[in-house]
Amino acid sequence: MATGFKNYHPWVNVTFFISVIVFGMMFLHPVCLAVSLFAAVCFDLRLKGKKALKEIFGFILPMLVFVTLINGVFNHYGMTVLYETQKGNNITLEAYVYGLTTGMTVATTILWFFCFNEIVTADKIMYVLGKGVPGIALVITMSLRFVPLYRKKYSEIAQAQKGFLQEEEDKKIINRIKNAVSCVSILITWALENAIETSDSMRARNYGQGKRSFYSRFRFTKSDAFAIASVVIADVAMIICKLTDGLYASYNPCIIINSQKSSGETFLFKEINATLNPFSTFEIVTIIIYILLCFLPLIIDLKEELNWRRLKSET
Amino acid sequence: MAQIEIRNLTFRYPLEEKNALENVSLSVDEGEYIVLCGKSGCGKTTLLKHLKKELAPKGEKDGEIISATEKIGFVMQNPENQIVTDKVWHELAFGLENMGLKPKEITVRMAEMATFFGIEEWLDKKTSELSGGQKQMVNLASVMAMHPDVLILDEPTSQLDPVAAETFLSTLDRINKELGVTVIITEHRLEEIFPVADKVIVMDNGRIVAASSPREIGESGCLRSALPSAMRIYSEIKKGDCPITVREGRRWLKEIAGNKQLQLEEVNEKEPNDFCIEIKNVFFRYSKNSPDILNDFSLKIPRGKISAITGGNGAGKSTLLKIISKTEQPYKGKVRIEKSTRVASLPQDARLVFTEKTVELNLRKICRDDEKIREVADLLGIENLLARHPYDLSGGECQKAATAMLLLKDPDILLFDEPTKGFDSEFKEEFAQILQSLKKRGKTIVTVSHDVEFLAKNADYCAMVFDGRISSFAPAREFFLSNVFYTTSACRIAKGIIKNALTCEDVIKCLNTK
Repeated sequence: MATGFKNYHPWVNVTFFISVIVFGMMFLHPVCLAVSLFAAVCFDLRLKGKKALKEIFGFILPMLVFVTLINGVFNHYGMTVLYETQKGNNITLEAYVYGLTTGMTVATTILWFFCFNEIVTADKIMYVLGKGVPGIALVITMSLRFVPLYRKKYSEIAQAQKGFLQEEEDKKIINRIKNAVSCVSILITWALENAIETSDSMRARNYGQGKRSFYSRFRFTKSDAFAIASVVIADVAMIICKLTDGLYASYNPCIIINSQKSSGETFLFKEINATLNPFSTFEIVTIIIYILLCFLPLIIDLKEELNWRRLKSET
Repeated sequence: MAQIEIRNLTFRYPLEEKNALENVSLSVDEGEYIVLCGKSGCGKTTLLKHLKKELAPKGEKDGEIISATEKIGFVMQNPENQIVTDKVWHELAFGLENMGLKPKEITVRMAEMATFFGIEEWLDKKTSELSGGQKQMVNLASVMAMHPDVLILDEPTSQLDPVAAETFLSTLDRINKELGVTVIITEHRLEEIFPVADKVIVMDNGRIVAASSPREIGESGCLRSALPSAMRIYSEIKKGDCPITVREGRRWLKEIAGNKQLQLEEVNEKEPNDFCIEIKNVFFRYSKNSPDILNDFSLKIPRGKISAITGGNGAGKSTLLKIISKTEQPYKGKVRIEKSTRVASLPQDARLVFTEKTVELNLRKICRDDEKIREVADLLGIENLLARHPYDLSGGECQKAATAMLLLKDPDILLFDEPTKGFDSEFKEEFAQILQSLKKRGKTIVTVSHDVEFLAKNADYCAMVFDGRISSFAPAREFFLSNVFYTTSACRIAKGIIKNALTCEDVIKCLNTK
């Protein structure tokens, strides 16, 4: 049975993932990028353990480097020229930095999707879709049955053919393809034939007569309500911040972090044409909210774990 | 008033010349347990489908069906094909969702069903992970969740192994007795079902030829070879009251035999000494981390004989066939088959071997020689099926056509996986003859089967697979005579009364010559 965040209602899971993925792409402020990436990495590690390490070092990190380098090599905008190529193209700092941000955004999104895959199981997707489009939900659940069924049947057919014909393993590609095609053709005939019976079974159980209701085993509990409320509040704060130009970042033609403020100290880095404007209080609050949002699943998991430990030590 | 009343129903499928149902009249009372039997193709399924109006076939129909209830549940033959969704709980909820019930109501009914059927533990499972018997149980539960007044079942246990079939039928009996649900069922396993049925209806060629209590059917002697063993023996002797169960059969037989100890001559099959397949200390598993299916398995298969492999579910019987036919390789041990001996195996689902549009094209794909095709078709009696599409054939015809393909390969060793599964006694007799004629031609036959009655009559040697190896291997008669549970009903009836009696024919012969 699932525990922690995975055990929460599908709507909580889905709103959370939509929020972090959308904000991950909307906020290119370096602090936001770092927060979201770090949270995604932590959550992925928590969900998959060693397998996640393999994903991060084998795929995410190389991709990040690759995107950064490619962007730097192929884009020539920006004011800070690092050097000029023989053909007269400028290799600029801004292009590299922007490449890095893009890479981080993509990495974060992919990692969140990895987590999404672990948390939002087929049942949950069906539940979310089924509420709105029951037809699609039914198609999904039926396909979920068909895919493994057909795969199993295919291997059965291949084996039956092999045991039946008892021909030497054919080395020729053409013949092997021919064999596979005839297996697929048997599978299709078989599937169509059997689908008739399935449709009979559906009709015998009142399918297609009157309106279908929708049943699911998910119950919306108090903690679900609390979690979803937290996500929504965080969403509102983040959107207000975006609308008021908070946590602004620009990388072209020169790097500007945060919008101009009337008070506070502005740092200028002349040699790299970068400007760092001060944070407003609201921006700092938003960053804290963003941290809480991105780490929500981990906070929930941790809380549950501590709870168990406490219960165990008390008894 | 009867719950369902059929008056003079005549029905013909489109483009057919013969009526599928001819003047059928039938009345079903509430709470009755009715068994419908007859040869395959006699119109049983057509009649059942007419009772459920969503499934009623299209065609020319005459007569009327008056039903006092709309709530009719239908369970079909194939456990796999009836399942719609991927999870067990969803399968239970499927019908209820279609009825538009509220989630709360669905939960209540699901809880009830799960408890009644004892399947709470499966709820979270994927339907594809269940065994055939479990699947059929889920199908029954999901139909029952809709609270039908009448339950119709079309050969529900024909694809199940004996143990699963027994469980299924006893659950069905509970539904009938405890809930008062009317049951109408077609079945080949009359042995288990006759004792609990109220009424037996025998059909032939679209007509009802008999309809009365099981005992009366036994006394009238129709159905013959399909009858339960005790009744079959009775129908040849015709003395006293007709017994139905093994227990009644024993009591009856004791009365007939009196105090005398009867005996049949011992027919001793010689210990085999000529083997064509030798399996030596074989170990096999499907993947690296799965448990061993065959574990230090050794077996020698005698040449030119019919050898049967029996054993429980998942004991490794089918795996053994795969190893003999070389579709799977053991990771340790040796399988020795003489060179120049050809092996061919027929899978459990015979339809998997057809690749072409007609039976004839399928045969021709294997062998171009017309003469040979005619000879094989003649042997199996399928000349009239040559132009048909394999999927239009009935199960038995399909099996024969596939066997014909097998024979065209002219193998020396033939492997069959459950060749009689789901077939009626008529086909079994036909198939037995085919096997015997193959044996006469010097072929070696290895068959995996659960069908004790079939094996007792036809196999020469029997091996029991248990715990990954052979637990016993003996001439078939000796094998079954020495077993107490895993043997024929006739043997169980005659045990201690007639020595060495294994089949109904043995008992009948002994009583007649007494």
